[in-house]
Amino acid sequence: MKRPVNKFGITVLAVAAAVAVLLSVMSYFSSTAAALPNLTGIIAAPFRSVAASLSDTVRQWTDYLTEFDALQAENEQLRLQIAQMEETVRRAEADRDENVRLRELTGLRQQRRDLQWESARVLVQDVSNWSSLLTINKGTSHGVEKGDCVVTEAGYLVGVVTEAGYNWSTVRTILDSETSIGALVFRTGGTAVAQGSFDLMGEGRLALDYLGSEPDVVAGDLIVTSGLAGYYPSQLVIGYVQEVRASDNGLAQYAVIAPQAELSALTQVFVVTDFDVVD
Amino acid sequence: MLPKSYLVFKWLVYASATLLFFALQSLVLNHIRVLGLTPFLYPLLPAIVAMYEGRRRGPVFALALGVVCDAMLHGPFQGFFTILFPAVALFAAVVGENFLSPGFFCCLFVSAAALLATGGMRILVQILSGGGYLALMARITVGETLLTLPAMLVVMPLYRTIHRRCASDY
Repeated sequence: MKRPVNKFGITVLAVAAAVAVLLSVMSYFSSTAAALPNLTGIIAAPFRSVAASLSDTVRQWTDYLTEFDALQAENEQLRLQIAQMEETVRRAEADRDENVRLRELTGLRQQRRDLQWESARVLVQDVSNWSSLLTINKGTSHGVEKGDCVVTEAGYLVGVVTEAGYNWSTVRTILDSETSIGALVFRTGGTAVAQGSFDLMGEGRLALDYLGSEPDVVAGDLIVTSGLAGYYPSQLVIGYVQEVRASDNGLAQYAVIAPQAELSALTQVFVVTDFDVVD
Repeated sequence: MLPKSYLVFKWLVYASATLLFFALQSLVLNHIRVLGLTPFLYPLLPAIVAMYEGRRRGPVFALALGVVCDAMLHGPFQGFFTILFPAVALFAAVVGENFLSPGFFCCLFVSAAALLATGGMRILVQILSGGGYLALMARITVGETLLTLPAMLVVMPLYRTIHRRCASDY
């Protein structure tokens, strides 16, 4: 029998260890993406774009063939919804005018929530069993920075930029086990923390933790970002509470949130590059 | 000894096949979810190539693949795949040369070992960084391994064909 690990094998392992350490150090000391992933990202961007287009086309055709009846029914339902929303908009316009007049009368400060955003295309959905990440086609050259929030066209929270390359960025979605965002129960105004977990990630859900000793959360509650500390904009919709569960030790409770953004079918997102902090 | 140009050609063919498996993972496997889990093909690639190519060439291929994976994918830390894949490849090559002749059962064994090693390393990193539940992560690792192993039936024949054709031509 040959010696299990010869001198050459040890050399290769030593080189691997050295390269790994080098990559880790480069990543640690870089404020944006490390040099190697950045370069790879730049080179791969056009290929990823083509692959994303191809994937979208295939999915559109598959959807067309398999979900025609469902789409027709959905279309009817959406028409009805649009009619109802138009009525709501008409009422909201009147309410807004009244609100402006009353604010002027009482001297209240305008609660603005101006967001500046950059539209981006989802190139890769890197959803594994251990993480939930997206690669988008905008980076530092477009003003995207690490820590920026990413939302859908409807303003539903998708995740946070964790790595910004020159013309690409990595977004950690709200399902990822490392996600932790200050949240607010819209109905009660109670604060909590929305965080991803390994056990809920597979179901496409996340947890609402730190609810306090007597949590006032019920299924159907809307959960939004709290905006506390000014890291993220407030009032971005995270999702709705599906159920409230007891934690493993039985002492505390947590809520299971179904994200409002359809994370598995994202093609276009918006990076919030700047926003006004509203108290 | 094989001419250099032939060696380059052979490894270009291996690289092309590997590129195909990257496409398979990102375009097909990433969209498959069974009990909330997705197959993860990458650890199989260095293990199966090393099983055929042995202790000298296998780990070098795995090292290159590890660097590419670290640049393209998101591991628990930068350099995760660079350090893991050569070790996995060395193990697979040793098994292929000394214990089991390179074939279906050897491939099954080294593939399972590669997937379990990848999951095990992730668990270790999570525990060292103070997060995660061991039982839950172990369940994910075992599930991922079971879900990915059938993909071996696609990976093995292609790499075997490349290995045999390139060996028989010379």
